[in-house]
Amino acid sequence: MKRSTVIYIIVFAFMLIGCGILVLASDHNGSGATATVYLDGEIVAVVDLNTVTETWTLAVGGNTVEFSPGHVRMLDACCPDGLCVRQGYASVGKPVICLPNRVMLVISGPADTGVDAVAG
Amino acid sequence: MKRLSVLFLTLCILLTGCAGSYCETRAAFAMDTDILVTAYGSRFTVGGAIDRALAVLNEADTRLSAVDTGSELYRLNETGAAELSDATAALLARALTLADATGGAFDPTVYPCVQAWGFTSTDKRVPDADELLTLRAYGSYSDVTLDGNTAVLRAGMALDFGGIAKGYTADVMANALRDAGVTSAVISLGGNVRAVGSKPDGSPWRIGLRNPYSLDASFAVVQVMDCSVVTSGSYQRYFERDGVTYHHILDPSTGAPARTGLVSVTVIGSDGALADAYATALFVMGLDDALKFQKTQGDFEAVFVTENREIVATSGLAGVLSDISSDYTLRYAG
Repeated sequence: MKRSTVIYIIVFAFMLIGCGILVLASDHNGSGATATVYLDGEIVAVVDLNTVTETWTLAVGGNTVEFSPGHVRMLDACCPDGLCVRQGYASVGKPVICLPNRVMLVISGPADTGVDAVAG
Repeated sequence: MKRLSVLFLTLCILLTGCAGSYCETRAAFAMDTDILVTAYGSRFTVGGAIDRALAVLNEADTRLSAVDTGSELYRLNETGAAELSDATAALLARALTLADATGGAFDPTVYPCVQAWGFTSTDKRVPDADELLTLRAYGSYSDVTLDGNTAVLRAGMALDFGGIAKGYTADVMANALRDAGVTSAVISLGGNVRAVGSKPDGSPWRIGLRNPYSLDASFAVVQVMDCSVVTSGSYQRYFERDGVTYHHILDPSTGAPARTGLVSVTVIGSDGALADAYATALFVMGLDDALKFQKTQGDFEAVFVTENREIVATSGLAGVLSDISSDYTLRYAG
C-alpha cells in the first residue's frame, strides 16, 4: 500500500469519528415534545409527552398538572385568578405559567404553534 | 487515488451537514416574572451558555429591583443619594436620556405613584388626583442628578426601572449567549422578547403578539432577526374597583393610568432598553402623538392595538407582520 493511501485512510478515520461526535452533539431532542415542570425555577418533572398513553396528574406547589397523550396543562390552581388554567395546553413557545404559585409548564421540541415566542 | 479524493470531498460535505442544532429551553423566575431562554447550537455549549445568561439575569435583578432591600436602587430610593455600580449608573443615564427623548412620557420617577396605587403589593387602592399630583410634585426625571456614578434624588422622589430593566437585561443576556458561542436563541422576560440571530436554518424568528382580548392567542406575528419585541398592554397588570378597571401603565403627567384608547403597544427595535421604555411611552402618548414621535425617531417600528380592535402598524412593518387575527382590522400608518 502506498504511503499516501495510508495517510488518506487515517484522515478518513479521524473524520468519521469527528462526524459521529457532531451527530451526537446536534441531537434534535428526538422527534417529539418534552414537557418540563418548574416550581420556583427548579425542575420538578421532565416528561416525554410521546410516551404518555393515559391521562395522569401531578400535584405541584398547590397546582395540579395534567399529562395526557401529547399534551400537558394546568388542570387546577389554588390561586384566585386561575389564569394558568384558562391558558389550556402548553405548546412550544407558549408555556403555561402560574405566577402566584411560581409553577411553569415548558415544552421543548419541534414548534407546533407557528411561533417561537409570544410578546406581551 | 482519484476515487479516494472524491470520497474525501464527499466526507467533508457530509461533515458540514452534520453541524445541525441541539435545542434547549430553560425557565426561571426573576424580576417578578417568568423567564424563558431557548438556545440552539452544540450540545456541548448550549447548556453552559444558558447558565451564563441566567447568571447575568440574576445579577441584574439583584442590582435593579425596586423592592429588594439589598438592591442598589432600593438603597438610592431610601437614602436619596448613592454611589452606583458602573452598570447601574449607565442604565440610569440611559433611562434619563430616553425619558428626555419621550418628553417625559416614559419617566422612571413615577414610582411613588406606582406604590400609591398598590401595584408593588397585594393591597390595591385608588388614590385621589390631589394625592397623585403631590407625589408627582416631588420631582421628575429632570430632577435626578447623576454625576459620574453618584446619583442624587430630591426629597420624596423614588426611581423604578420597571419600564426599562427587562429590555436592558434581555440585551445583556443576549450578549452573554453570544459570548458563549450561541448565535441562535430567543429570550423572553415575561413577554419581553429578545431574538438572538436567526433560527438555525437562517430564517427569521416568528414572534407572536399577544391578543389583549384572548390572552392565549396572538393577534399577529412579526418575523425578526437580532431584535427586541416589547409590548406594554393594559391587560398585563390591573385591578377592578367599583366597576372601573385600573391598569399599571401610569401617565407621568397625572400619576393615573393612561387612558388613550390603546390596549397594547408593541415596539420592535434592535435596542432592548429603548424598545422597553418606548413601549410604555407610546402607550402614554396615545396613537396620534406616538405615530408622530415614531416618524421623528426612525430607529424602531411599532404595532398599536386600539379599544376599537384596530391594529395600526408603522409602515416599516409591511411584509414583516403576518397571521393577522380576523377579529381585527389592520392599517399601516404613514
